[in-house]
Amino acid sequence: MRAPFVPLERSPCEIALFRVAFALIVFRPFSNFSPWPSSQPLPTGLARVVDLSFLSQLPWYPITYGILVLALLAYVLGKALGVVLPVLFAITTAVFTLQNSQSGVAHHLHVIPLALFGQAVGWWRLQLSNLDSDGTERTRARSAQDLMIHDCLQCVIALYFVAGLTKLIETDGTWVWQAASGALWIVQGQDEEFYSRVAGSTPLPENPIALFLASHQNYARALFGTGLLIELLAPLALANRLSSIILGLLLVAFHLGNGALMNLWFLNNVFVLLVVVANLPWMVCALRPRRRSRADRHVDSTSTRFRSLPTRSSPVVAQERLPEH
Amino acid sequence: MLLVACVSLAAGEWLPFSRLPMYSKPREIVSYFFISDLDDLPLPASKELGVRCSRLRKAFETFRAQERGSIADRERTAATKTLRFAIERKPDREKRAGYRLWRVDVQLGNDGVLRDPRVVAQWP
Repeated sequence: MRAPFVPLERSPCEIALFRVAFALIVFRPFSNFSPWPSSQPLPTGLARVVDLSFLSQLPWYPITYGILVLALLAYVLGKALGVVLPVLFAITTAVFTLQNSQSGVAHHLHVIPLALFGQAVGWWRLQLSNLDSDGTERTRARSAQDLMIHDCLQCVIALYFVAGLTKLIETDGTWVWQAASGALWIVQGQDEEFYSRVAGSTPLPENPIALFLASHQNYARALFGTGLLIELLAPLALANRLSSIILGLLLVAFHLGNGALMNLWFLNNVFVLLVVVANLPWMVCALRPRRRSRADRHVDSTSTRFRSLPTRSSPVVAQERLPEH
Repeated sequence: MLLVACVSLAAGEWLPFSRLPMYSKPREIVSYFFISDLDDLPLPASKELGVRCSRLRKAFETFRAQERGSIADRERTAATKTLRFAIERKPDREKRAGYRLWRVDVQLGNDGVLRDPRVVAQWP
């Protein structure tokens, strides 16, 4: 018989820190209070169906901003998540789609709405299933947020797996071999940064790493091939907490390397990876001083929030719940 | 995870889902764009027009994909549209006689990296 699905059980401290950290990540792209684009000259995704430029106009701009802030506050407090998560998903999707409808798609905007999508799915999955239906209101709320974080992790990992798969599909599996010309991407990124910021009569600088990789193409294959390998191995992060931390940190290193070499600073992705995949909230909670008694720890070690879930396929659980005579 | 991956691969560019095609096709020649004045002095695009050069490249690629006809015609029209798009982004820009859009093709050569810059559009 197949064992019932059990997501990783997280402490209240970890869940609370996760919500605070993720709320800051969602707010960061909105924190400069600059107006959103007033038109969508090159519509993409949702903008091809709906003209989203109304979001930048009165009264919708302050209304949307206000709803976003209120929703984030409710999210931090863990209140009304069933409503708040879809609202946050809708606002980030609409505003980022509008921003992506200006001059081509910027892929650093995808991870936040996708992670919110996963959280909304996870939260509603528990509400609409029979999982934990006998739990108290408090354990049920924690179970919902365990699933919320679990499904969020699944979505973030899918993002990287797809990026790796696309490279293999587009090149019939020869991406690593073709990446010998990867030095050109470094030149492209560095030159674009130069002409975006400096220009004038200043001479164009040469990047020594690009020059080295241009003349040592097997090193280029090894360097960029390592990046592809990390993307394809990303699903291993779903195995357990340790693998999640290791893959999370590897993916962060991957992004920081891309940033240093090609000026591709995917900061939204870096922050989401640190919180969702590398388990930063868990690390912080694990390091904080413990004040609980031995009796409390015993209760914790025997607590079975998900293990005692009443599933149709778990007769052992049913037996545990028989009234004592 | 697999469900989201399949939807992303099938949906195309539909935020938050995407095939994430960036850097998926290594090429022997890559291109980028920059802007100069009419004396061919490169201008810092972010400060001058509020648009980064990576955005110029993406705009060019999007416009080129929308055009029909021969490759040369599509690229000529896309370059003109890209320059106009960049200029119109900042109505309060510094007054200048005009702008030129440059395209630089970069490829590997025997002695390292070769850059081939050329003007592809001019305004007015």
